[in-house]
Amino acid sequence: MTTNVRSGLADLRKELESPKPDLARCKKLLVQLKIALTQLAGLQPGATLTADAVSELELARDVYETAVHLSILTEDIPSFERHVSLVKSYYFDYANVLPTSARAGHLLGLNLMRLIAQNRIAEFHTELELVPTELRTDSHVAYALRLEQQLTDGAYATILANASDVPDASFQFFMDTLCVTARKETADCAERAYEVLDKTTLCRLLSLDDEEDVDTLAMERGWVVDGSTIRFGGDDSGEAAVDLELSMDLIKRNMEYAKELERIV
Amino acid sequence: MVAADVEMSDTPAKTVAPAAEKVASAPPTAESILAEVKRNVTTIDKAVSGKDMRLLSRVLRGTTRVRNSISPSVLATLIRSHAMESDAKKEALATLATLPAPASTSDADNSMDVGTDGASDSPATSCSPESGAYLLILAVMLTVDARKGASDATAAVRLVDALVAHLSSLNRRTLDALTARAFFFYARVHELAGSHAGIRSQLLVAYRSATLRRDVATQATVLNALLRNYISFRLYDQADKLLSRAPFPETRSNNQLARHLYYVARVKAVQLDYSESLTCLQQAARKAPQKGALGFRTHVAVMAIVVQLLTGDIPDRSTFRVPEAPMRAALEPYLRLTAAVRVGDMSAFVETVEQFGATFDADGTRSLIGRLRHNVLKTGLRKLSASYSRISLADVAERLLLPSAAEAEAVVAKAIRDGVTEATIDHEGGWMRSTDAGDVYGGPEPSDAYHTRVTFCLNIYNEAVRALRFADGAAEEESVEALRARLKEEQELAQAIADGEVDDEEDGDDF
Repeated sequence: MTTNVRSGLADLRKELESPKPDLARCKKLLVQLKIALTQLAGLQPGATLTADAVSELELARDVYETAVHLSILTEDIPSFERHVSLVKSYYFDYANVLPTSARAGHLLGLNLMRLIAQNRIAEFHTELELVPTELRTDSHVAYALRLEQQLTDGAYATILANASDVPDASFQFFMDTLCVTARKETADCAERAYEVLDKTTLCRLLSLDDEEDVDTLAMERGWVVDGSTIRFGGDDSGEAAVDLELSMDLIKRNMEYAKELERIV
Repeated sequence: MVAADVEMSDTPAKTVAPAAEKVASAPPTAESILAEVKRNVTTIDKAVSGKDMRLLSRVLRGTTRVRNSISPSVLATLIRSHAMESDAKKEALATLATLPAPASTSDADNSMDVGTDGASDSPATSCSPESGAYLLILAVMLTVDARKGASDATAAVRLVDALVAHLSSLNRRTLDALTARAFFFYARVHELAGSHAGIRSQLLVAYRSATLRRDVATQATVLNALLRNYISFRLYDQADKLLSRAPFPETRSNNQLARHLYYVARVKAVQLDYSESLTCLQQAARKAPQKGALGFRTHVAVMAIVVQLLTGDIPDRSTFRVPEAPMRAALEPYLRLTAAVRVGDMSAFVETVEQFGATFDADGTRSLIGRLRHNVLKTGLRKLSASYSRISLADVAERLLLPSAAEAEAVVAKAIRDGVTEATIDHEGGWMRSTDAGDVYGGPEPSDAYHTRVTFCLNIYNEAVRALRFADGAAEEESVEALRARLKEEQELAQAIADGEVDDEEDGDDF
């Protein structure tokens, strides 16, 4: 049985590593592998940890690690999340039994990267707590950590400039999502921080390819294009919304005080 | 933090207390302690037969003193004389036999004799499972104390396992308070032995049956044990899920509540919910015992400081001025950290983190402190914009230890967007120009500050109302006869008083 899975896994990896992987075939292979895994004795709930079981567990871990890579290639985020959580149980719950996987840093870094790209920062920190200290220096994890710091500091331009400098091709997918966010944030910041800015600088800040893109963006955001410079007009609609929110808060609080006072008296 | 403190911090609130109390009162003699334990056993039996749980809790409150002064041999004799049938008894006797007599009771042999004599006087009179559990818990406590730091903890583990199994097999409401204690030590002993990863399912089972039996004491204790377990493995996700699904019982001891609040705060802090975390920590500090429990209070204070810094506030100077020297020493690194954050001095911050890195690691605050970097940046920027009307971005980069002027520009831009400073950037000139800060009283800040205070006061009031104790409803449900008897009695009393008054008046007339 194990040999079946092993050869299947080798097939799947070979297909994935080929320059133009046939993704439909990979998916089919993965499904077959998963079915084969259900028949391994060591993976049954409540199985005792014999030497055979340990090697079977390791095999299952390898299968799911490969599945994570396949999910990235097919750009299927729900399946990515599912497979990462499967792999994590092998990493952490069997930490004393299984030898550390060589790809652990890569996968955990990728998962952190996903949370950053989805702007789920609270979960990012929860996940980060789980990453063992020795893995924090791993290039993939460190990359995600650095990105998070740059994001909180606001160094969006640095992120955009280094967008193609990813530790592994698999990071590119999330990096693209992140770039969209970073560009939007930069535009937001520029709007508030500058009165005027010339087009070339803005183009560089946003890492846009040519100045026409800047013009389109200016149209969308209501900036005034004045020759080669851009003037950021005061936009009050945002402040009105903030004001309304403040008033609602104030009303809510006052009602609360009234209610509590009523109860005391 | 010194090693001793770390050790203390492992058991918040409980094991720390002995040290303080030992100094306060001279150790009682072996005879008096034997007498006290015997008295306690009788009290427990009385409490059980009379269903008066207050007597039981009074006995449990005095446990610390007994724990510090009883010798293993005396306890072994008491356990032997107790009529109970369980494996736990055998385990306890076997374990106690291996324990050395405490150094303080030099008359160990002597006390042994006293013990045997005492036992023969009253052979196996007590037989309630409650008093048996009480003695066994004492045995566990002694084992924990004796094995502290020792690697061989298997005997203690066997003992608690047997004890918990024994108590779980009994379904008696009068046992609740004792079961809770037993589970506390169950989790503690396993943690000391390093086998606490495997007890989660056992704890979950205990939680479930405690909930079904409405055994709030055990419910609270087990829930805290579970949270502690998850947090020690950094499984904040699971801890959070448990918190959202398992409500903490309303009626519970203050110590358990303080612990619970502390664990909740830990989880919330990791999830960036700093204001909630801070509220929990402040409440935990208030609910914790004011004397003793130094390790717990230190940990709460440390967390509160870090979380408060993360919210953007600076802790009060008085937070660091605590009377207890070990706690003050433990807070010292955090004082330095606060100083760095307060003035927004990036180099001082980096230096402090490097210097006290090991301490922060030990306290488990390292990753939280890592997040403070951003706060230092913000404060530094605010200071710069307050002191200069115009400053070049290169200077900003230098002051805030940023790699380049370009990055400084981006950081400043974000700070302006987030409302940290009021300024504009001139890209051509390469500098930042501060604009006048608006009227601070015009914004929502004053009302926010006012609101936090009002909420705090209302909270205290509501808690106080909830903590009021009312007379038992049972007393009022009298039977008709009893009511009649009481009325008659009152009438007689009134008559007597009236007579008395007449007497008084008569006395008065004499003068």
